[in-house]
Amino acid sequence: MNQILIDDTTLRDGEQTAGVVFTNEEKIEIARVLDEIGVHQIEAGIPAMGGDEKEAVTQIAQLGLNASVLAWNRPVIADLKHSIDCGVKAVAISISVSDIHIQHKLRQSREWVLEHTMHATEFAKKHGLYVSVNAEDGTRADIHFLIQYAKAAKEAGADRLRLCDTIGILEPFRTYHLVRRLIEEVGLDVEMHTHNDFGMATANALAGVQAGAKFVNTTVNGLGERAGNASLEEFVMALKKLEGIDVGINTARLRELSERVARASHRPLPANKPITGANVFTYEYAGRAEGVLTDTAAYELFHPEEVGLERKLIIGKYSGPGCVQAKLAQYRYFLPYDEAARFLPELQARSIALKRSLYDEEVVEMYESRVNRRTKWKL
Amino acid sequence: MEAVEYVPRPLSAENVNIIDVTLRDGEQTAGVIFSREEKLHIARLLREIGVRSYEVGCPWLCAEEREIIAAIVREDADGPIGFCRNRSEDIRLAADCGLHNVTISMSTSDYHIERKFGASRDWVLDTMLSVAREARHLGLGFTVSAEDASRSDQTFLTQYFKAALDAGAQRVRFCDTMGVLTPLRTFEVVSRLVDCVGSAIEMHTHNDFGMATANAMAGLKAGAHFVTVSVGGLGNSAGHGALEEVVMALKHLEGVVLPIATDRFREVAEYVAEASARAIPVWKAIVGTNVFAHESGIHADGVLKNPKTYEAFSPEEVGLQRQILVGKHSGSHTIEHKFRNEFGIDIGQEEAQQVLARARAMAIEKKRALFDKELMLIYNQVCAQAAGGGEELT
Repeated sequence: MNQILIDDTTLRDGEQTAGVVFTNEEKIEIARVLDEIGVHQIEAGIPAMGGDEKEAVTQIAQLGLNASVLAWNRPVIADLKHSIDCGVKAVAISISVSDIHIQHKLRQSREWVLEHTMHATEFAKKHGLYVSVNAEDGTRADIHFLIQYAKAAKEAGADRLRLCDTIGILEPFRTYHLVRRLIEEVGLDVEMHTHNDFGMATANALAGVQAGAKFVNTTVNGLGERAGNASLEEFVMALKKLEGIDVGINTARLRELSERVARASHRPLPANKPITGANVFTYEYAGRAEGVLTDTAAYELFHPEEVGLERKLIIGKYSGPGCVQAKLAQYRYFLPYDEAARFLPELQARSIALKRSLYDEEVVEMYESRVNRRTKWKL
Repeated sequence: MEAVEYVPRPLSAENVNIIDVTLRDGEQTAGVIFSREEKLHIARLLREIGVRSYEVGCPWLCAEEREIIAAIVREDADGPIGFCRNRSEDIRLAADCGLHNVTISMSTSDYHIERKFGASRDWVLDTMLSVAREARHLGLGFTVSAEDASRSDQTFLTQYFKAALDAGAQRVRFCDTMGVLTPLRTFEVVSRLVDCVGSAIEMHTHNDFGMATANAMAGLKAGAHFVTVSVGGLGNSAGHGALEEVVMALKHLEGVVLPIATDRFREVAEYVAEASARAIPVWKAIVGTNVFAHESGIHADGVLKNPKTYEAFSPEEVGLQRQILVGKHSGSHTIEHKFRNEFGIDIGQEEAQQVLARARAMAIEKKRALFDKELMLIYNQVCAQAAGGGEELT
């Protein structure tokens, strides 16, 4: 499980999200950052769409990135020719393999699917391309046909099989069993492509890797169709922190990358977004805040700097005396614990009245006027 | 990685009990405060959709909080649960609010015991037992929670859980406080615990690595009978296992249908979003507005032919609506369908191609999907040109 490679599809599946459009400048900028932080492969777009899209893929292929650049295709020779025009060295060839898709969407037969995939794969290999054959809706396919499809792809020269959980119906145990069986029976490298419809995209990608998959298709912020895809930052950090596998990504730039993609997709990053959300290292509840003040490892598995974030302490309804001491100490007021405990109810009441946590300025001002009041009273 | 067999236990509706913590762990989120009315209303919504047990707050926090808790208890005596620390005083304050049930929370990891409490494992056991005695003495039902359970010594954790259950706890809570579990690890750990202490275990999972829901489900599959959730996954740090995700995953991935009104999930999520001043991301699993929005040619075309091609369940089931958007990735079938079904215009194949080309260009220029009005404007332009007008409408 050591050689795990990240194939990021923010620019393809991410942009395919309903309502999201990147400009070509944004695409190039995102591709550059993905490359700089060490992503291994970048899925850049769909050349067959022509126009701006084809232009963007061409430009990204010409950037001279360390990352491999991959273009998405249907199993159609014309599509592949567009990709070849763009100068990419790797392609995804994608077709549905579930009966529900074959019958209702494609209105074709299983044989037709096999035939077209093999034909397109052979064509791509003849042109020296690296090929990821995609089993769209693979997790709802008849397992026997999925295996047959993967074997056909392998025979035609495919370099790996992308298992697409297109509508996000996997759960980790099924994922684990399915991926193990595919690897055992087909012997082709597997790439995980998971969706978040039930909130399990990252967990399923990880379960796939635990079962032997070597590639994972991610997107920044989990951007993607419907509820999105497995998120790059969650997967990379889970692998690093929970499984002890460092895939060589410069994680310190994850927040920056998240912000760029959030801007370009017009989708603000939720405060509680795992790994890169602003709230992940923000503390108010005394139980947690005072624990972290004593020792950050009490509630943090890694330092915020590791993903480009900062630790913050805010004062509100759930603060404790220790939080108040620490906050005022940041402004060079050093209160004894008892004094902080007496001041606390005033702060809580204000926070409840305002229905929000307090700004530092408010805390300091309240403290100063409290001191002034008392001084006057003494005089 | 060596091959391990993971054989989950079969799930059934009788063995899955939902405990919502939106009003406690949810409100504890840095920066989130609910008003009195909001807390009362959220409690009502939870009851209406079928959630029977829910934490309502911390009785020890302040007088305002106690007053709100008492008001909720006046509406529902048995559902509300008060969250208490390892102090008998907290239990007495909970009883003062009229609560019938409490959670008693203590950390069980050596990390927390040594650095947060500066104490020993024995002290943790003794303290928990004495607080539990107070709860029993006051006639309260209680759950004993193990904070940071996933980083605890599992032998000690088992001892702690056994002692709690022997002391009369209704159940014990396994907290993955920092969200460090993976589903496979959860399964191993919880299976072992279930073997030792039985199924009265409550999974409490956090989302730090995006796996809260999957870990909660893994705990249930390992034999735990209780699970805590919050609306929208609201909670400390990156949040929790989400009510809507767990309930829908149970229903559609495991075939376990709980008596919960899922068609009100969007409504409840909207109310909590408003009250917590945290917008629901459009891509939020289950309740985000984008979950049933289709733009790309392949997806939209598939959904129009048969919604099951790209939808695991229908939008009405969670109170959402399907939307077909036209944008950069649209196909001409989508245009034809949208005009026919939404605008009542039977648009020809050729016209659809022309509309599509212009719509794509406009979407790229405006960097978003198009509004219906914009589509109609494009259609009018195409028609005017076909009529030989040549001049573009503006």
